[in-house]
Amino acid sequence: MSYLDLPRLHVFGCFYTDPSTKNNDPKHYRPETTRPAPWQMPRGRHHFKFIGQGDAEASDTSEWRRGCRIMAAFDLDGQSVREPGLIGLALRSTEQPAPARIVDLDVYQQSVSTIFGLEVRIGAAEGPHLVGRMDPAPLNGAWFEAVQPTRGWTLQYDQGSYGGDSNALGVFQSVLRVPASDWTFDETGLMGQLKRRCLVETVDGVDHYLLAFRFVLDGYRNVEGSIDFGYGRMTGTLGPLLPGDPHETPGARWLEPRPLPEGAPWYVPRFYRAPFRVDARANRLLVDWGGSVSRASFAGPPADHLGTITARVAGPGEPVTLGRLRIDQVTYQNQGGISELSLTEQQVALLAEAPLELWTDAQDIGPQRLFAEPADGLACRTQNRSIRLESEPGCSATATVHVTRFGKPQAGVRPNIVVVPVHGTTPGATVPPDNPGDTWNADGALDAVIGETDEHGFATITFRANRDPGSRTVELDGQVYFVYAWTGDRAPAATAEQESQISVLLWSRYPVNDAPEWADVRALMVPYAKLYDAMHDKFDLADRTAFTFYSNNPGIGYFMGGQPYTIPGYPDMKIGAIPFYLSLPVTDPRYMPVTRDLSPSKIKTIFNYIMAEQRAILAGDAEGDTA
Amino acid sequence: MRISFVALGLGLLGTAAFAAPQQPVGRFGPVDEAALPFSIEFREVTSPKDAPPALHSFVEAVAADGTWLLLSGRGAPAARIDDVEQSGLHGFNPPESGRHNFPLASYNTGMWTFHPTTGEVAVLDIETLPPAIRYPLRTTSQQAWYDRASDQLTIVGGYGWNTEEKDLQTFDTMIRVEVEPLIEAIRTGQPAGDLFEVLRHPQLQVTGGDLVQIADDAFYLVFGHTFTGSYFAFGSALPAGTTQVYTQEIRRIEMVPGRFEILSVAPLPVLDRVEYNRRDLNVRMTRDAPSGEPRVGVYGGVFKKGGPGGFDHPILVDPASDEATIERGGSQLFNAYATPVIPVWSETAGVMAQVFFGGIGHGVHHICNDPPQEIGLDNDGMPFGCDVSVLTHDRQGNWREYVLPEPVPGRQLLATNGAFLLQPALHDQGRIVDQEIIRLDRLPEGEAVLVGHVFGGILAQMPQPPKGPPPGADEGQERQVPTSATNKLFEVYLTRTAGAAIPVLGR
Repeated sequence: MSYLDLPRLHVFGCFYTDPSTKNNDPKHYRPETTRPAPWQMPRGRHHFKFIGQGDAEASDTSEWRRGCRIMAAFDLDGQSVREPGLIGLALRSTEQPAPARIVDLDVYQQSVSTIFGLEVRIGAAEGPHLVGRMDPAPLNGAWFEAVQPTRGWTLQYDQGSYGGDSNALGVFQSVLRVPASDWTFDETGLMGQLKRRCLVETVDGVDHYLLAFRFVLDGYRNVEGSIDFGYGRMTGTLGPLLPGDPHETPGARWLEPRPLPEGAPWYVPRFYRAPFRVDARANRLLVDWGGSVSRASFAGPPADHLGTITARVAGPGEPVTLGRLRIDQVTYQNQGGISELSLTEQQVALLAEAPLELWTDAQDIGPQRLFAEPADGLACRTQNRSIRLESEPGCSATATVHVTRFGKPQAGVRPNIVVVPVHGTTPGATVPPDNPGDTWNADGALDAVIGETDEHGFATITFRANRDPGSRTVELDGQVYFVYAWTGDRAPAATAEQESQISVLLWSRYPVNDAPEWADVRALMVPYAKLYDAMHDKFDLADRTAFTFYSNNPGIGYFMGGQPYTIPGYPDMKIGAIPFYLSLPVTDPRYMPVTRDLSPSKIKTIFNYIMAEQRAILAGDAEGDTA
Repeated sequence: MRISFVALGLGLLGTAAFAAPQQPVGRFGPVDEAALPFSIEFREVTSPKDAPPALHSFVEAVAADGTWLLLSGRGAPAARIDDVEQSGLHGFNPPESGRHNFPLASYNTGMWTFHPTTGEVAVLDIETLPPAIRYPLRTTSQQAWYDRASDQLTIVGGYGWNTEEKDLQTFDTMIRVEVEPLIEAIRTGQPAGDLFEVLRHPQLQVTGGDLVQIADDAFYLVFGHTFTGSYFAFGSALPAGTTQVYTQEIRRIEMVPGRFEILSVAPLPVLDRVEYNRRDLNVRMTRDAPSGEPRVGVYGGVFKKGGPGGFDHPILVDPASDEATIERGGSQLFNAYATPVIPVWSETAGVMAQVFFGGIGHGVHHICNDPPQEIGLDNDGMPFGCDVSVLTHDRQGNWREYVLPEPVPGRQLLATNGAFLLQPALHDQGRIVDQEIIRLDRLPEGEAVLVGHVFGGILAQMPQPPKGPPPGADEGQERQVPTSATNKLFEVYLTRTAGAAIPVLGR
């Protein structure tokens, strides 16, 4: 339950990201499309940054644009802590060893964009601080109608205003790993409490303190020429990661939103599912609505006209009212959009076996029940939601499914799963319906096998290819599958329920070429050079001269500061920018290609080409020496 | 926290004028001899030793020894008040007149101390302050709060001339100063610039709202508006660049603990944008009578969209939960504009009362200072008045409004944008709760207790603008109520005994 546990910190501020969307159109992957439309930010570098308070001059004067800082803290007893020196501390990304990258899985699945290599510092480098590296965080919930529409012509514009991404909202959750030496806060204060409560993992003899980090992004300014283009708003919460906690999902109970009433006028608020937790130790109800209530305006407060929100326990008898639940900008800004309510022991006991509901007293915004937990109390949520998998025999990948009922982990349960190959009309596909998607033999190419849940409620799904799924075009490798897991009567595939979904990009089979020619390598480089302008501006990877130069310059020691580095399988390869970046772990923010859309077999083929070149150069040098 | 855009919007009503002496407005019941759990008396103090300045729309604080600190607003030393142009009060010059409605010379440039018992006055010119402090202090209608525990006076925003003195603006500043050291500096003529701190934040660019401290590190900035450019009344062809935006928000300001730095400014939920379109209102700590819990009470204010009306319904905000309620069962006909307010709480009677001393409102009970019949009056619906009104909230949740049988002494049209300053000894006697509410139950029964003073504000010569141009008016000058800032001073005595009042039954 971690971030909904204690102690915890709430942060609020600003992020920056500049993903190129030139690769967002499937038609751009056709060889005949030699001049793809620029879309948005064609020269974007896919950077993702948290802007610390005071780090950037902002044209916008909104509160969030001031940068990220700690807004509130709650100690082990749930008391608000106003420690001078803690509240107001900046949170920022360090950009070490490079700015983090945000990357889509595939053009057909752009809703599990993953942040790779984000390092975060709370506090100033020269003062008490912590620095943690975040595990790759896939977008773990997103919707595109999170701002009340502000212009008409519903048929044409739907949720018009500012452009699609400005109306979008995304939720990320992951784990921050803080090496012991990078946690320098005083042991006595709230940060000491937090440190002592965290799960500790030891890697290579170094203790790492694990923090759960969940944040909501919205208000992204994606219209070129708009004020502070590329910036957006964040609110978030950090808490201790505890034993048995899921890493990418709240591990909590869920409220499902009411659907938008048919024909609803513009001012009727929209909702998205919201996690919540009943803390039986502290007799508290915590509802995380930060990503679940539409905004009155772009990067604005929650929608007007929400009325007074009341939490109730539904049951076979009369519903039991628990009290008023705050949904307001103060809570969004200062407490990560997490509202609390004190409960009696009796109410806690009721909630242990009965669903929670949120009601409004407003009578002019449609049905008054705004959120309801499923009556069976079952929740089935997935982790490792974005997978790139080779289809060669012997290759496999896993994801986990976390199953709870009224918040309690369910052991010995085998969830249902379904594998759905993605084409343009598949629910959840992020392309227009006229894109075919499916390859000729996509159906059935991916096997998924799920086991039973363990005592913490986790079941493992194992993925393997049973044949080559083929490629959608010669420039768009493999096939995308949505895999859904569920228990009970739900049907998450029909609604593309993201929290129950795993997306798998299954690469096409590609025999490693042991002796590739330049034409073979160039064929792999052309799509990248075509769709990633930020790199093309520096050098054209499809140009042999440029490719050769950067394959053999500089020495890898240049990148490693003299530290030893070996490319797995190619111990003799000691030079070259291209081999260095291609060989980094995919989680490294410097990894190339940034878009992470070259399969390992193709990368090995490139290495083979470079290795042959380097050997030839060395041989040439040796001949020269002899002469 | 006091306001001076008294006539915004009222000029429109000239077309609906009628010539007649003022008439009562409202329906009234017979005098109820025991309507209130207290009686209240205002005694004019006519001869303080030195005359305090004549001010309205100012910022005030009362030190522990009873010395007042008076900053900002508009006005002048008492001896010069008749020499200072006082336009901008209930009737405005149109743009084509070439006359500013808020002339630079009408702004108070002194930091004053005054002791109402000894009558001693001292002043230090704000010219001695750094520009970053001086200009936002030379404004009117700021929002301010004095925290007695920390001795800190916090001042937000305000409307005044920019640093180039070429145009008017709403400032986006928060200024903090320790009051007792500042009083000492003023008395001794020592430099005071180092006593001030200042910061800027776009969400603080507000005038005509109010400020209430709700926790050690938190405030509410309640309503108000942002006015940019020189002020002219509705109906004028406003010069380019002149804008007015009502905040329609109660903003919660969180400070970084231990530092003079803003952590966060966030609006509370907007319950009703029509009801939230308020400025120049009265905001006071109060008690929710049914529960007895502390609340921030919001009373009156102007202007309703589409017309010059003031607001009737009180708004109560629970500072513990930030939950606001529009009390639609309550209605305030009298004294809706900013005016001195005396909060009185009787736990035993279960009654919370706010006493409003004069000012401007819809209601009229006592006819005051009518001009000669031949001049006539425009009825703009919100005249200056001389009534003292009381709004009560009882344990059963009922709201009632009363007019006191005795109007402002001398039936003077007084106190708009004036202030009530608490007697500091009440704090030490345990007779104050929530920093400013008088605990009636702690007063001796039947004994009149000096609880504070009403000071300053606008003194008007007639309730509403005259039908025609005033005698001697310049060509093109709009009808105006002859007004000036005043240094009128009244002692306020409260007695824990049943008090008579006239029920207000409606319009």
